[in-house]
Amino acid sequence: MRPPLVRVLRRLGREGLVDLEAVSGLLAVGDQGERHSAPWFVRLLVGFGAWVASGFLVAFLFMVDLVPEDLGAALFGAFVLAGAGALRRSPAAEGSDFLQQSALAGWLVGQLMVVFGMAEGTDSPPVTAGVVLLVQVASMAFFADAVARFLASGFAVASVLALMLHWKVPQGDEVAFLLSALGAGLIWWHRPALLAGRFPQAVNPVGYGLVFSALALLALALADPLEQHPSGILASTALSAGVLLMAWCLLGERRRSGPGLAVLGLVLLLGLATSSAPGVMAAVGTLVLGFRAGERGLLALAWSFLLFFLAAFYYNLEVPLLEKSGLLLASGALLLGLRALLRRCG
Amino acid sequence: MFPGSKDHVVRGAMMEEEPEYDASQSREADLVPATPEAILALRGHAGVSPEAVRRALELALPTPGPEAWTHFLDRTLLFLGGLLATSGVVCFFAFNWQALGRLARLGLVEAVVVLAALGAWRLGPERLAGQVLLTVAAVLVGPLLGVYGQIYQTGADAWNLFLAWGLLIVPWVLVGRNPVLWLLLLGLGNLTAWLAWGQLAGPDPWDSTSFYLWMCSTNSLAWGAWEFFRRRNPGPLTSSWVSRALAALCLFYAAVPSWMALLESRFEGPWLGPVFLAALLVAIFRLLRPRDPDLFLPAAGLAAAISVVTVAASRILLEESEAEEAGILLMGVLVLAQVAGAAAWLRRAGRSS
Repeated sequence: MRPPLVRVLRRLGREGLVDLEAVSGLLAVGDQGERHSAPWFVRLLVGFGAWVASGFLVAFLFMVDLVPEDLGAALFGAFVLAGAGALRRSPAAEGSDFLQQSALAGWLVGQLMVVFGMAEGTDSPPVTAGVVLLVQVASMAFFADAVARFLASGFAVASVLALMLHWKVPQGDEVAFLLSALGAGLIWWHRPALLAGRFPQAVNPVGYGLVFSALALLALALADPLEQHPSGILASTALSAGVLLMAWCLLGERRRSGPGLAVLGLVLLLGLATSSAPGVMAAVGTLVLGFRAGERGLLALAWSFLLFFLAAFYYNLEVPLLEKSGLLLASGALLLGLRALLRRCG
Repeated sequence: MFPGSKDHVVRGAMMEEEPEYDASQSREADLVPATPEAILALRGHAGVSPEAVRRALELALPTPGPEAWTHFLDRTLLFLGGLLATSGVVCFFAFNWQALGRLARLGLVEAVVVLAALGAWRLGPERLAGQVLLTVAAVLVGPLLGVYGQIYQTGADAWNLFLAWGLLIVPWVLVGRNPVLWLLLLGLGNLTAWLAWGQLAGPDPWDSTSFYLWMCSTNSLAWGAWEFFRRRNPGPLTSSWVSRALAALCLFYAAVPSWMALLESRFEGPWLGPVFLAALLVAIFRLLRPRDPDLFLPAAGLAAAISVVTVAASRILLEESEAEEAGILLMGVLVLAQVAGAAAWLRRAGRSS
């Protein structure tokens, strides 16, 4: 729920930042901008449609032998990406959903061409992953489409994961998770400043993309398809430190009061208790960021992920059932106990 | 529904010093929210400096105040603590399961259900903690029946368990007036039907057009009843998620037989699927849309229609045409055009709401 734009504009007028006489005109401009944003399910429909369309288009290109081989395909893909980017930014696309969807589908086709071409041409996973990562960073910054930016952040995280696994970085999947979690945390924490910066339209989609990717990586680490046997300790420690830092900043002057110390103590103890279940602290961190930013989507994502994580954690064989039971019961009791204590303290 | 997702986020500097709103202003002006998109549209506009945009973002995206954080902390500790403790109990039972005797197993699960239900009764469905306990009790009825069937080897089929579970929690669902319980009941009803069909009616439900049409009919009736009662009883039942879930199910059950009718043959197979789908679309766009600004239902309807048109086009362009390459290209363009048209309609509909 946001305040009305007219109130914000009149407040700016009283502070001398805008002309009060111009408020009506500015309201109309802002209204137009707000109307262009779409609910999540419309974006989901658009994104899914773009994927399906790009699948057909890629199949067509291969059937008519229009795609060169090896590095030629990557170069072809780069041209397609540039063309899609130019189309998306063109004035004609602003008022045309068809052109916007075509640009998005073209972007996906270009991505597939680049990945395919680099993989075939160089036969070098780190080079391929590095190029893909660069393409995603450029897309996040310059491709003016929220769905594309969301997907680009996910592809970027996947590239980082591929690099970690190729270089056999110890606990590579956890490191990739932490990098994406760090990125997400920085974006959501500094969102107002970033929105006033150079790439404001990229902030929300990339922020959501990084959170989604980070949580997906954590879920993947739990499933452990590549048999990396992650312990979760690294992720839990870093997440606990992150949540503790956020709590420290949020408490401000109250951090030395009784309730403040209780909250800091709770975060520390919860982090210790759930050291082998990093999903709990990941969900807590997402909840704090989401509430601070006023983003219901983040709150919903956090709760959905937590339910999924607990179900997957139950079936995970790395931790014995009795230990799982102990840590979950202890954590639950800790949280409920603190709630009772804080209520008593008023 | 989620802790902290209330209007508490909109507090702080905006509300503390704001004078009374001038009622002589147009009502429409007050309806435009100060979203980041609305404020960013002002960038570069004459008379709007970068500092003004920064300040507008600060005002539109205030950080929650101490009261809001306290409320959020209270709710999160309750939900998260309850969830973790319940998960711990489940793991504990699972660990000790083999060592427990029959009565101990049954007694433990029963005790949790009874305690949760008593707690809900004591606290009342008006309180959040009461709602949480009632939901826990309703969810645990299923495992209780499972344990009963396991111990006494009743020989009941899985669909019997889900049917009994659903019937037993109906009074709690009616008393609780909680969308989560309604969604649980909806899920149990559909699951029961899936499992029962295969055993009682014969053909695998996945392959049975009749099954999908039957499910579409029953879920449509449930949806109609839900819409009827929620308009007469606003309050806890106005949650849009139950409507959305029912609509999505009905559209799914109508779309699948439509695909099957198109893929099997142009001239064979029942055509009731597309007829049901058309009826649902009429209901969404003609009956519900004028009364409900929620765009989810039209979006879901359009998605279902697009899927059917795409399958029909693929049948014509790919299977029955000789120019396969041109067909593939046309399919891509067709999908783009449909999605673009749907997005354009939804944007226009959102504006007019």
